Amino acid sequence: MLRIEGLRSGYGPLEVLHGLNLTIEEGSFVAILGANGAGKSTLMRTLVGLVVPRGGHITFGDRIIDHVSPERRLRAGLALVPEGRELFRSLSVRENLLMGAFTRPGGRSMEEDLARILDYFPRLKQRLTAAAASLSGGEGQMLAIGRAMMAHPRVLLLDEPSHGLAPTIVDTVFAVISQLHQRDGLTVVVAEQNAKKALSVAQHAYVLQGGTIALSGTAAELSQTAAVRELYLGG
Amino acid sequence: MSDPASASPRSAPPSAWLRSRWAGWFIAGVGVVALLLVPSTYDALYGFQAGFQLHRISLIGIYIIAALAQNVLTGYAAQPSLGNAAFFGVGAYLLAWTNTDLHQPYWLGIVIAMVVCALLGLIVGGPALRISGTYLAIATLGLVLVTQSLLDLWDKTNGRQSYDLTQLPLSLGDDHTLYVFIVVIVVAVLFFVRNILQSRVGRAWVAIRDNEAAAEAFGINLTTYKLLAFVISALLTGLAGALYATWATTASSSSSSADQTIAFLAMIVVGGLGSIVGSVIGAIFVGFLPLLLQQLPAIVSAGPIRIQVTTLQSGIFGLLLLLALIFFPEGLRGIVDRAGLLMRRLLNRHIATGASEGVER
Amino acid sequence: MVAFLQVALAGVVTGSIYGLLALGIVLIYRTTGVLNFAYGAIGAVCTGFMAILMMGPRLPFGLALLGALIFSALLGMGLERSFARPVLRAPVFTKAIATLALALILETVAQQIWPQLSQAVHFSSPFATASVRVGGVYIALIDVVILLVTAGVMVALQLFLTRTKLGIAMRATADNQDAARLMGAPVGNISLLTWGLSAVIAALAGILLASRTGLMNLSFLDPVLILAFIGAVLGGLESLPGALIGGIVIGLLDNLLALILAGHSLGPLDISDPGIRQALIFGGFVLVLLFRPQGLLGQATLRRV
Ligand SMILES: Nc1ncnc2c1ncn2[C@@H]1O[C@H](COP(=O)(O)OP(=O)(O)O)[C@@H](O)[C@H]1O
Ligand SMILES: [Mg+2]
Repeated sequence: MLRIEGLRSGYGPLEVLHGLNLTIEEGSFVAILGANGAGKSTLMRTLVGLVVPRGGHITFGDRIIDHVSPERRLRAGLALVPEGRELFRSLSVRENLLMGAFTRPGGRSMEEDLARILDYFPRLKQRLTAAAASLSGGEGQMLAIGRAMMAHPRVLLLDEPSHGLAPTIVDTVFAVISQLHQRDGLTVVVAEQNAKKALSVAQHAYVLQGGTIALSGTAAELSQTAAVRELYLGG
Repeated sequence: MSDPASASPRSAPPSAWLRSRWAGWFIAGVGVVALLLVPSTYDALYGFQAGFQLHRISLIGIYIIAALAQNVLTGYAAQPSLGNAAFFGVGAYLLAWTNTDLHQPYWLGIVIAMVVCALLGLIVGGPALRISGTYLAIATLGLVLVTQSLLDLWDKTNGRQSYDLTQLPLSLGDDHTLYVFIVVIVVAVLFFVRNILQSRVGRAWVAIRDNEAAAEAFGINLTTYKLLAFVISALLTGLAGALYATWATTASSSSSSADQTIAFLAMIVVGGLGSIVGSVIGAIFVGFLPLLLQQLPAIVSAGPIRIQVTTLQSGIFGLLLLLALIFFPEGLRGIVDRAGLLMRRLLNRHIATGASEGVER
Repeated sequence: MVAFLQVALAGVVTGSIYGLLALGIVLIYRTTGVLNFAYGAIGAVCTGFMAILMMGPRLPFGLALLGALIFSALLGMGLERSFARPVLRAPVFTKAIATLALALILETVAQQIWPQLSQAVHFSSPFATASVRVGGVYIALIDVVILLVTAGVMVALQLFLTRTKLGIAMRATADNQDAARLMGAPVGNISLLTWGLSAVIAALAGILLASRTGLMNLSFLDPVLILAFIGAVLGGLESLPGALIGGIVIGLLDNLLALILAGHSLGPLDISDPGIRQALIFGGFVLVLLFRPQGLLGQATLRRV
């Protein structure tokens, strides 16, 4: 579904990813683990085209998308829930969701989409006309996910969805992500510092370190690896 | 062994003297002497018109003071106030009043203008701390317009066409003396501002500007230091206004206009926010460039096309201003910084090669 | 009572023109962070273009209006590409002063092309002399037109911004440009549209004012612009209805104060002088900001510091 070969990417003089290889199967749930500053966000942004890679290839389906615009990647089915949610704070919840569907044709199907997405997020349904700024952290993360889902993605990328949320809320958020994965057959890629939580729901996991993949395997394997236990799971 | 650089205890790099205290004084001294020589240059250049030209150059000095005042407030203490022309006008009118109507000595008028403006700065600054960003800019712009209306009204109720300064010291009527007088004051103000900025006060302003919350956490009293910026800025602008009245021999409410106050902001933006050098460059840009443009021939003709250059002046000024802002969004002081760096590097290399030749055995 | 109504109405009418300009100022400020001091010059140049169309080729009012509006849209979009793009990333003050430079350039260029506009010229309009009677109050036809156009612009803009996909995207872009780009919104074209739209509003305001006074020149909007700025800030700088209301409040105050203060004096001070009125209005404005630092309709937001 998504194949990354020798990807090099960064900002100005700073190269963050030094030749990254990664394959994500259709319908899988993949976790990308790494410490703060490891380059998880850089990878996510490069995948959706917000950062231009300086080497390597990204293949989505059967197309090389290295130089495809962010908008066309979104249309092709690659959506990102960005780090820190990045909601339109002065817009209503409903308007935020509609913005998520900006690349899709409007009309009747739009209302159906909205209803379908809102089924996953009952809290949002009650607050449709409220300004996004008034949402709690958990609600905000739900809205960010719902907004990305409005684009009908085939692959949903999430950058630290647990960030800044209380543990119980994190559980709810990940439960919703699992639901989307199972019910809709969505391919999910989660970048997380919270390795414990990510490994408990993902099938496969990769550990990003020093700009390359340091470790990979099934979630179960990685949870048992000494290095991961020591570094990310607290012994 | 006889190499002085390596013999000195701290073994300073060759360019250290450039940054040292004495070099600073030396450069400043050379600058002042050069400025004081300008009048004779003008005499040589313009003959009997020299006074007129010099008079216009003096205005730049007044702008430098006003730009420094604006920069203290906006570039250092980070208060985007557009209110300084209010103090500029009040300073001018106070001098006119004490001079013409109250028959007080000139220096007393200047002092009164400065003190009253400082007080007004305190009065304006207090409430202004509650307002921030663009709101503060437009609110203080409103204050300038209030001031202009009131000054206008004062003129009208007294049936004045213009508020002329009739009791000025005779010597200041001479363009050469006026020029020297203004240069001396500008140098004094530069010295004063530089010292404040290097003191605890200046460091506090910069800390507040860079991170208000952190500054507060370090125990810097935000209210005190912001108010101080308003007071000092108002005081200096009042001085500039009084000098402007002296320069024009009249006080006019157009000193407190929206155009004037935006011009002050333009000076520090084009010169460089948070920089003394930037204030000077900005004042020169806004004050001197129009004079230069006036030197252009009135009509340029190329074949059948005749261009009326005189009507183009403000447009050319606008274009140059725009280009300066596009290419130097952080201000023209960038040029000076770069030139300084280049000079230092050249000097370093020069001294370094000289030194290495010297120690060859 | 009738006199009062008459005066209040006149206040709302002049206020509407401030309000229209304030709308355009807020529109640009919100989407691009530019405090546009060239806005008056843009409106004046477009109004001047229309005056030329009526004086030179003797186009009828309607056609000239159409021409001027198209011209304004093109001018606005041209300025976005040539001017707003290069300064987009500059600090906010740099952008503000750059618009000042832009105003100087625009006025000079227009003066070169239409030298006759440096002096006041007659601006003819079909509404100039007619008036209608509502109850006991006479209203000049042009005033009715001004009120209708202002209301129309406000309603249309509000509908566009809240009911259409592009309008919502425009607000989203103003709110969080990176996220808007992530949603696939054409951020660049939205900025183009904003400038075009706000230039059309400037043109409308200029044309309405010139139609009302029957006169215009290339700097006739400069004094009005400051009042529009104050209206915009009074309304909260973030809110379009706020901008319109802010402008109307200023116009209303000006006219009502004139009525109240007329013929009074305080000792030697003639308080019916327009200077007193201005001082009161600006002073009141500063006071309002002291109690509501975010304007009348602005919300205290933590963003955009
Ligand atoms: N916009 C940016 N410009 C420059 N450097 C950046 C930028 N964003 C991130 N970086 C740098 O890239 C490196 C990786 O950052 P990031 O991808 O955000 O890591 P993570 O998401 O894993 O915490 C860090 O060293 C960070 O400082
Ligand atoms: Mg990150």
